[in-house]
Amino acid sequence: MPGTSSTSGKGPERRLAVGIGNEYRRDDGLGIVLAGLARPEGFDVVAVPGITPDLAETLCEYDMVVFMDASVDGEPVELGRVRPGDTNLPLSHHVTCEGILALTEALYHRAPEAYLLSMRGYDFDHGEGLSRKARKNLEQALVRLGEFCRQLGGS
Amino acid sequence: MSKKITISPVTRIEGHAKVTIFLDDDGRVDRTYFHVDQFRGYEKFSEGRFFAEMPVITPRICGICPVSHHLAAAKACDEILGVRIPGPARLLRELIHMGQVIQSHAMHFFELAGPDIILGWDSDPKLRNVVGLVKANPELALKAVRLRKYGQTIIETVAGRRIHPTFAIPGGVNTGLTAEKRDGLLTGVDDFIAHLMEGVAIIRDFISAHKEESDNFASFPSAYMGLVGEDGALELYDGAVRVADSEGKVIDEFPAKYYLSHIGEKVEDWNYLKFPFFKPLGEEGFYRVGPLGRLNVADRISTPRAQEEFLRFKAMNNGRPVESSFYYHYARLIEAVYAVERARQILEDPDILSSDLLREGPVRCGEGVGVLEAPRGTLFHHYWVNGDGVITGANLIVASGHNNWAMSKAVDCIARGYITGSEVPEGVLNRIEGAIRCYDPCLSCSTHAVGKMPMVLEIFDHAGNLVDVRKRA
Repeated sequence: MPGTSSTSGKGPERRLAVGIGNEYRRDDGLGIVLAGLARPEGFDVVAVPGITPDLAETLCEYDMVVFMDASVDGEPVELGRVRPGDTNLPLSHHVTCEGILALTEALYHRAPEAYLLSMRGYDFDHGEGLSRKARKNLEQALVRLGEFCRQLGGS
Repeated sequence: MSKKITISPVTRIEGHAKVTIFLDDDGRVDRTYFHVDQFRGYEKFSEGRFFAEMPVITPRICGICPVSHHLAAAKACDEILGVRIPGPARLLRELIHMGQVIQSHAMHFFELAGPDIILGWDSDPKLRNVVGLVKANPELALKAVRLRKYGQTIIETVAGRRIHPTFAIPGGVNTGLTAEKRDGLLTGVDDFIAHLMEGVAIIRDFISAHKEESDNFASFPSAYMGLVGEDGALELYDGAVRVADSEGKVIDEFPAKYYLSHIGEKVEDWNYLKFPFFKPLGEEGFYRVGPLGRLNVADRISTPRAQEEFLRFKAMNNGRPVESSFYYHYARLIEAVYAVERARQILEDPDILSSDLLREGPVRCGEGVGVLEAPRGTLFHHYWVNGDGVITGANLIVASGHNNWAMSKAVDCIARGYITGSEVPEGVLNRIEGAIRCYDPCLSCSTHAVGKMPMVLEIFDHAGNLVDVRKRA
């Protein structure tokens, strides 16, 4: 059951959904499109092109975060728990979900309970609009997010 | 030597870096290649768009420095309108550009350069990262985060949003600044300068303690390029393009809009990214851009604290160009000091509150070139339009493109200096990555997706057999 181990110990109070991606690289924009479509009750929603270290300052103010991002492989839609982890990305300006949680914990001594909702993308070329298969995954992700919110007692 | 080097399309989309090392018969490094992502797709993507859309479209090129693309695009659009934008609009654009430089340079120092400098090249790789840095120096880490936030706050306050702003439009900007917001942005400036000077001191101490390695770290002669003001001072938003040779002699200075007469691009079959070169020096006329390039071509810096440090920087090689790639980190922090000081100068200019923000007009010119110094180097946006203002062609040269040759040269220097045989100790792998980090290239800025692989290193023997693969997952 999500939400039973919040950092405050009193259940999640502040929740954040983070849409990640670039809507001008077709399916890479899945997270951004989902952030625009989904209105998960009780969640603040932000859209970012990638996770950068300063997001830690925002995350530390939340009890729960759901990262929403396109994936290059794996299942069409996956929702799973993510925990603070490896931060060694020696050349990238972007940080992983695990890395930003670790950084948040190190900087502010707390990190939100976190989940990653990943949606498989297929076309990452320059251009607008999702591929047909990605749109299907987006619909599935909306349903999955809705179920997740209901489990939390939200919408 | 193997002639076949494959970079798969998936790899390119994921935007990862790849280093390939070829060994000779004796197991010594024969040649090293650094392969990077490319940006040409955006140029085709732009065709058929109305020119005024470009300041909104092109920031999507980069999630780290979208403001640079936003402003370069707006400057190109000003030329298409044939207008000189009002002074206050220019100040406001330059102000968000300083915000961009502050946040980008602060993040680089904290996330990418800091772990090597503060924890050491050969420290435990499990700890040699941003979290390790926080544990080693939590106060410094919080200051770095505050600095980055200050840069972003400038952008958000002035432009309305910190990512993908719509603030700069052809002919000026669409929003003014209130006195209340200006006063808010002036709060804490002295602290931010002090934070940066702390970083400068850390780098100076590191250089002192590791002088020989720092001086020789991926050090090689090249030409240098950057914008300068009329008095030869460092310029990040506007100015003439200056080129200096490997001895520091200024060999060219030209208005940015004539760049095609001075800069050519060639292709290599092992890299998606083109290799720009300075035409008067021929196809081998490679140059470096970015913080090191800019400080090597500039005569001075127009703000006091940055100028003090600039004099120290120049003295390191007795006024000749500083060649070691490692000194990009030092130059970057000096520029960050300049950016904070320049932001204060702009905010204290009475014109910053003016409502004279826009010059409108029809499409008057068939093309426009917008140039500025993005955090990583000189950024060119060039658009051709028809009479209706529809883009018929676009050419973008981004900083990571200018430095393409230099990054490959840098990894080659490190490989030759540190690798003997097919074994690559972790500390050497880190130095190879470190050579690339000096240039702070945008490798994964066009896309972001779960499952990316940021770094792959392959070593081939003299017969073309793959003998080792190292990956960072």
